[in-house]
Amino acid sequence: MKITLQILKICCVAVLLGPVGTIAQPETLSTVNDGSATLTINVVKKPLESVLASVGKQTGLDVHYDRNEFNSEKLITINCKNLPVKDVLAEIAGQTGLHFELFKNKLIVSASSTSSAILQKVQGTVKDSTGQALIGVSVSIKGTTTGTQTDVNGAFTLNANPTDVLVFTYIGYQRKEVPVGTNTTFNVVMSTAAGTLQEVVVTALGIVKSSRSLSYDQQTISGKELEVAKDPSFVNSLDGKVSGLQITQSSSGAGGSTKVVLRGNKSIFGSSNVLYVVDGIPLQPLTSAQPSGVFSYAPDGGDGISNINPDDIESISVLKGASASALYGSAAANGVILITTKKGKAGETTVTFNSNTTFDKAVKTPKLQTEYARGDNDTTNNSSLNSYGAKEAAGSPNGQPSDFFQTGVTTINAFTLSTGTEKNQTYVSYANTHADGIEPGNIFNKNNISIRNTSKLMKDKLTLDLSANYIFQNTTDRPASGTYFNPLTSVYLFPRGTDFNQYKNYESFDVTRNINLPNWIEPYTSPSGDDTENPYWIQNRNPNHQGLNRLLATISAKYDINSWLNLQGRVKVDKADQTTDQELYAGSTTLLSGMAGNYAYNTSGANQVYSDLLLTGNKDISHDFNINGTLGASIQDNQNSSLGFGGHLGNIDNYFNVSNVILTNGDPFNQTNKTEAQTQSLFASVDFGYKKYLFLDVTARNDWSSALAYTASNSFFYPSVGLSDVLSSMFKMPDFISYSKIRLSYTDVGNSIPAFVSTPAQYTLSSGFLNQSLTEPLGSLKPEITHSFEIGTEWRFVNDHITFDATYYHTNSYNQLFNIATSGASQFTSRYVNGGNVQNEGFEGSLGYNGIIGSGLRWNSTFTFSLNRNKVIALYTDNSSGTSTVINQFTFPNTVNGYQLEAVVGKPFGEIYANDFKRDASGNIVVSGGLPQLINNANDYKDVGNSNPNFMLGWTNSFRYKQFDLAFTVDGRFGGEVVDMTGAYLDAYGTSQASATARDNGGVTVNGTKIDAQAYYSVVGGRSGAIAEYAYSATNIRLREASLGYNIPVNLFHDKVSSIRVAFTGRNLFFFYLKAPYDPETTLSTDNTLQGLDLFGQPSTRSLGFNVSARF
Amino acid sequence: MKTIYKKSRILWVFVLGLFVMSSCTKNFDALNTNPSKVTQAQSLGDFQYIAGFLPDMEKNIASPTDYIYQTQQNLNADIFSGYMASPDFGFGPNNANYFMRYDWNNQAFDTGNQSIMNDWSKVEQLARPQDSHFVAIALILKVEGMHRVTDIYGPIPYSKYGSNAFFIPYDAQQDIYTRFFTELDTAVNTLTAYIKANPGSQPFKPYDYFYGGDYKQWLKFANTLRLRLAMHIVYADPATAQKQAEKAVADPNGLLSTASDDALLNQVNGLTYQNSLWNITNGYQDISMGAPMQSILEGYHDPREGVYFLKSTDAANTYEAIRSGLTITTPIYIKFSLLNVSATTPMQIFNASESYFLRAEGALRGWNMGAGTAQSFYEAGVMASFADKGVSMPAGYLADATSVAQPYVDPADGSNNIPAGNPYLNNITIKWDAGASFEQNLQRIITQKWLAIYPDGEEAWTDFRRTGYPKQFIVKVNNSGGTISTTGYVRRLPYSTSENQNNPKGVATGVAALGGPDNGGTKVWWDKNPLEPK
Repeated sequence: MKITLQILKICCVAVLLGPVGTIAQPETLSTVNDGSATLTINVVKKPLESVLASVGKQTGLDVHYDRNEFNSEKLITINCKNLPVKDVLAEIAGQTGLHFELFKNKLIVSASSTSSAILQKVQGTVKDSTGQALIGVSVSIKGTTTGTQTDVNGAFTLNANPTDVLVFTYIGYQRKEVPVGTNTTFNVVMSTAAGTLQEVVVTALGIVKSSRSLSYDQQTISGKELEVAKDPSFVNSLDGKVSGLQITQSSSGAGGSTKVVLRGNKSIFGSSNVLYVVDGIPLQPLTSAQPSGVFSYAPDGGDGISNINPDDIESISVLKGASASALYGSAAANGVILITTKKGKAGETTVTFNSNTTFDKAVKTPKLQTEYARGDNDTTNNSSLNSYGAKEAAGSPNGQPSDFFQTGVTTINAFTLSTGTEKNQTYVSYANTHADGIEPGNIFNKNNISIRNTSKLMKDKLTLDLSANYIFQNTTDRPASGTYFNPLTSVYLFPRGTDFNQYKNYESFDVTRNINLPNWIEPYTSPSGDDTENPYWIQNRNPNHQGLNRLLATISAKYDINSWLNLQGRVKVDKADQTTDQELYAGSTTLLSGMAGNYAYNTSGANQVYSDLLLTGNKDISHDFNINGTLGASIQDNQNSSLGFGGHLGNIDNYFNVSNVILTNGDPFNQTNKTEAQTQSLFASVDFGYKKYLFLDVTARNDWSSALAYTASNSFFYPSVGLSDVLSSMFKMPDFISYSKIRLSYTDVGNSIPAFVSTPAQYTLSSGFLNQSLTEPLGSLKPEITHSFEIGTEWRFVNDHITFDATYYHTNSYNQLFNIATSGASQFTSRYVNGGNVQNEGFEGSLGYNGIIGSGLRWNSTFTFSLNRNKVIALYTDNSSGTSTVINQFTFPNTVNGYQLEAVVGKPFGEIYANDFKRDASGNIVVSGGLPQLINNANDYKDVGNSNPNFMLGWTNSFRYKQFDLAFTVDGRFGGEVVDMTGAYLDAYGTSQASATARDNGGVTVNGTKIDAQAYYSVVGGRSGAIAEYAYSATNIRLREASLGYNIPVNLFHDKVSSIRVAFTGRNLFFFYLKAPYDPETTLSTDNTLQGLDLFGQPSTRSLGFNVSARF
Repeated sequence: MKTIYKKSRILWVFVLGLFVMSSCTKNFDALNTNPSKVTQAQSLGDFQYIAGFLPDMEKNIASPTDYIYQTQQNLNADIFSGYMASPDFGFGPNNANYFMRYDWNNQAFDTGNQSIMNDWSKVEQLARPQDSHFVAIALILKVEGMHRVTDIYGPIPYSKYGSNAFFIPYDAQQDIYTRFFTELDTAVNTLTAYIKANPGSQPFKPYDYFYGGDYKQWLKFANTLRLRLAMHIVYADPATAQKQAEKAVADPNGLLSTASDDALLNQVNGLTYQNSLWNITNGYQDISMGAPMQSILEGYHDPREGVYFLKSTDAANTYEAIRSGLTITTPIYIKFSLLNVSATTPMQIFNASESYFLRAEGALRGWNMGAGTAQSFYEAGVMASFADKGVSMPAGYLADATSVAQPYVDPADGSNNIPAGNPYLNNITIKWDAGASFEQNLQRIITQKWLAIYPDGEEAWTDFRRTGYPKQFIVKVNNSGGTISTTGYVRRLPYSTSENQNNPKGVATGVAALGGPDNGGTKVWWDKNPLEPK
């Protein structure tokens, strides 16, 4: 029975596949023996010989075989009616393992499955619906590991049996299966997933939906697009490619943190960063403590997303609005970047190797003057730290930052192996990223190992997906911001007219201390305003190490209960252990290191366990109605712990060990912490589809958050609703409109409060005794809520050659939690309050073209536009004492002397306020004692603007012509202000070109009177000076990235390689327009504080390099 | 049927799973309790939850954390008192040259409120009736800590502390002083009664850095503090001043009088720190010897100079002091005399010799200061100071009727010199002169008091504002924008910027009570000496 059933099924499949064969164009076979002649056989357990005889009889073919070669008495069962000969032969082959070859009117039967005599060479091309050749399409023989890929002309060659079925797969296109039969040439047309009923996208929780049903904007980027010009942190490659996405990089070199904001900053106190989700499960953000200002000790520690290996990424979906992400809960209110990683593919074994090397050069370093020597008041003095001396003697040495910066080298080598059968697929990868930064001594090294196995068990009802990623990463001397431990302070402020190179030998033996001590312009025991030290000493003798070990392991099991219902359970463990240490050798400035040195060490662990259970159904209620729904429950548990100590060393110089650290001063273990938070959730999502063009999407989620313990309720609920209508399916549209859709959605997203802010008073210990927390614990706190509305439309014209989409959105974030300062006389210095209404509204859109120009030039071009308007509508009103106190202004923590970041009602979020000249009623600068006067009181600082752009444009292009491809991205940000505090320092020290120009002019003119340059800049420059004078427009337009590739013809390698491409790549190539003296898209801090401020940050780099990728 | 059963079983498992999940939120309270912090329930043992706040009060009168002490006291009172001056060439316009640094001048207010007042309020709230002795200690420490704050700013929030988050009214300074005296009354009565009822009991011992939990010492401290506060207000409310001073002296528990009575922040009960001044002078190299100190110590040939300061590290190897109120942009003063303080030197809170000078001044004013005269108290004070500093007094020191402050020479910049005959040189001798005028003897008392209580710049600045002694060199550069008179000296610190932001209505009540603009030139309530410049 069993066999019969199988045969029936195969026959049915064959019948279905029959018409497909007509696509294939037979070349020269005659109609008699082309295999399309039909026959009918119905036998049960009959010898093979008699069946073959029957075939010969019905078709008139001469059947040839050697009885010694195989068992011709084997019993077979077959039941076919009017089936083509080739299909019947395929069935017999399936049961016997025999191979058949048609030659003229002969049917040759042989035994060896590997017999090359049976395998025939098949070849063909794969094109898309526009007739363009598709490169790199995976072509495999179904059920085997044999396969190849199409070359640059879309051509492929493969050895196959007539009974084989060719499987064509390509990202973004529908899978296609074509039986080989007697054909040897195949011209296959693959239709894009776009514009078809079957187009599916991965949405929240990994739920696959038809893109037609999406009621919100989602943009998908293929993994390939990230490879145009690789960055150690792949997320930086999204710049300019996604509308509504704003990327700001930390000025901390390779693997540094990146601030990614979708549709504007929303949260005053919390993070505005997107949530990253890998294969449906949220990733720990692992954001590191950010530099906190001038006296920041620790550099940026990178972030979690930079750990991901871009070569493992299959595709990225950017879910911009809150609605896209309602199902992820709290963390997703800022939008989600959904990463789908690669899996093994059935039926093919692919090995890829990708090697990327770039050479990185500092761009936009400050202009230093070369006219005036070290000294003060126009008098040269070689003990001064300023450069306000007399004119330099001829031939005086003048170092420039380029003397210090080196050419950075970044190499990314990645290897992947993908293999699998229908039942079991495996993917393995290894990648190493190594970057030597532009600051000597800065080394970043990252290793990623991943393995993934997907298998089908229990009659294909159970799909088991197991994956593990291990990341180990080390960073040495990550570039710092602020003045401590930052070589750039010393490089930029180094006295002019003095030989910098003499300090490249950074230490020499000191007989009195019997150790090496630094060579520098001032002794290490001397106090200095800004603590300059020999920059090479800083790099070599103040080493900072950051280490990370991270394991991500996922088990996912999906069980098909029936044809329309499945149950999926997933568990993901994300365990990250990080260490940082900072060694300060004896001889470092005694202010920070004492006499014997200083050692700080911290180890921290962040463990997240996420598990969920999803019941998903998809059922056609009637011909017109479809319901697609998911019911789920999840639990997320986060445990963080850290243990750290730090202090001056005791008796033994430069022995960096806890046993030698003086632990009696202050609170050496203040880094020690342990927290746990848990969120439990129930959620549901239901799509109602009508005639596959009208969709109603409803979601609901309820969270129970441990952080809400001690408040009125630890539970909160938030729903969303969306509507999508594919107009082009609903109405008859003109032919040139291939697709048209409108969509709208409304979403609420809740956000829990941070852990412990509602907990009744707890105390810290200070010298062993109680110390009250100065933050008032309040049980009246509520979760934040974001209301978000969006409406959008999508159009495709002329066979999808032109695409257009546009979205308008409007979000209000209410009940924002923020920590507001209270009077010190209130018993606390701050309290968490629910207040605030931050509004974001904006437009975003994209216009794309893809098609062929002339003879075979393929052009793909996308233009993106984003505009966001942000406004703080309200902050907080306190009514607790009967008197109403309205708080209209909130100052972010970490203010830096002349700079302060604020949220002020009626203004955009994160407005920069800066110290400025004191002006009289008519606007003239107040001069007193011959010097300009400053405001100085932070409450009266000048509003200099906001670091966020008014709008952003991006333009990505890719061209392909024969073996060549060219891609580039231009992007621009318009508007916004940034503050160059570095410049203020340089002016104060007289190393800047501006200070020399002022001296050339005989001083700076204020109110018509010249003021001596040094006197002027001693007031105006420096971190407390007139910082507003150092504000610049952040507008910039740049060539973000470009690559020029060449696909080497594979026949040069005797077909041992299926594709090999070499490319020249570049990132951050040049600015078409830039006003600020530094790259305004780099930042001191990637959290909400210190935006738009540069303070001796490492300049951004231009990277040029090459890429070799090969596929076997 | 079988498959249906299977399906429903899976569904049941699913539903059950959800139920189990939503019912296990019971441990949320435990999860949301920070294991890195102590709860009140965890600190019940040995009454830590009450008395555990007292050590923090003792620690924050003059903070043993260098960078806090630096802005709490060192970069204002320690300089304004003439004790010290800063060689730092990176400070730019700052307190020393009368540019009131808002970012520095918050500290005394913040520390007072966030530590002293805060800790007191916890003790006050949590103490049971039988813990009233702890409340008494908290009150004494509160008065000791907060009189410094009101002396710096004038009106401050006091009686309404903790009443609201965003509006806490300020009290007039007179009301604050009235309350100080009442609070000391309560403390003294409570402790006296406690000692009587529990002789030999020392429940405060595990917490006390000053006196090892000896409540008798605390009574001396409270009495001397009362005497000090009485003297502060002598020009504003002479009647209360006399009444409180006489009450302090009359209390049978006595006053601080010997070196063993000094209130020091001892490194006991687990407390370790490095003297704040040590790191400020050695590490930061932000503070050095003040010019008036050199002028008076060397004019008097006073051997305490070597205990207080180090010789300069340049070739001259002499004492070199800095005149305050300059514009310093280059490191010309970094080799000048640093403070002679070591990391292990305990922070000085209240020097016992002060009590003699207070009694001397009281006696000079004709108050009943107990057995002794103005002269005997004065001389006892000088002797107590030498004993306290471990320096033997040179023969004839107290009989020196000729030595006065010597002219000041700035080795780095002669334009800062204060030559002989300059009216800002402290023109008083050491030897008591019963025939001298009241003002001359007051100047004599305060000058020796100034030398004795060093480095307590907070009290020395108060004395200078109150009496004008010892004479100080006027600032050479005045960056106050006209708000502080150069010859009138700085009178107070302006209110903190954070208070202006977070409690603007409260600050308005403070300014109203101050009776003048919120700047460094406005006098506080007790600053009413008719001889002092307006």
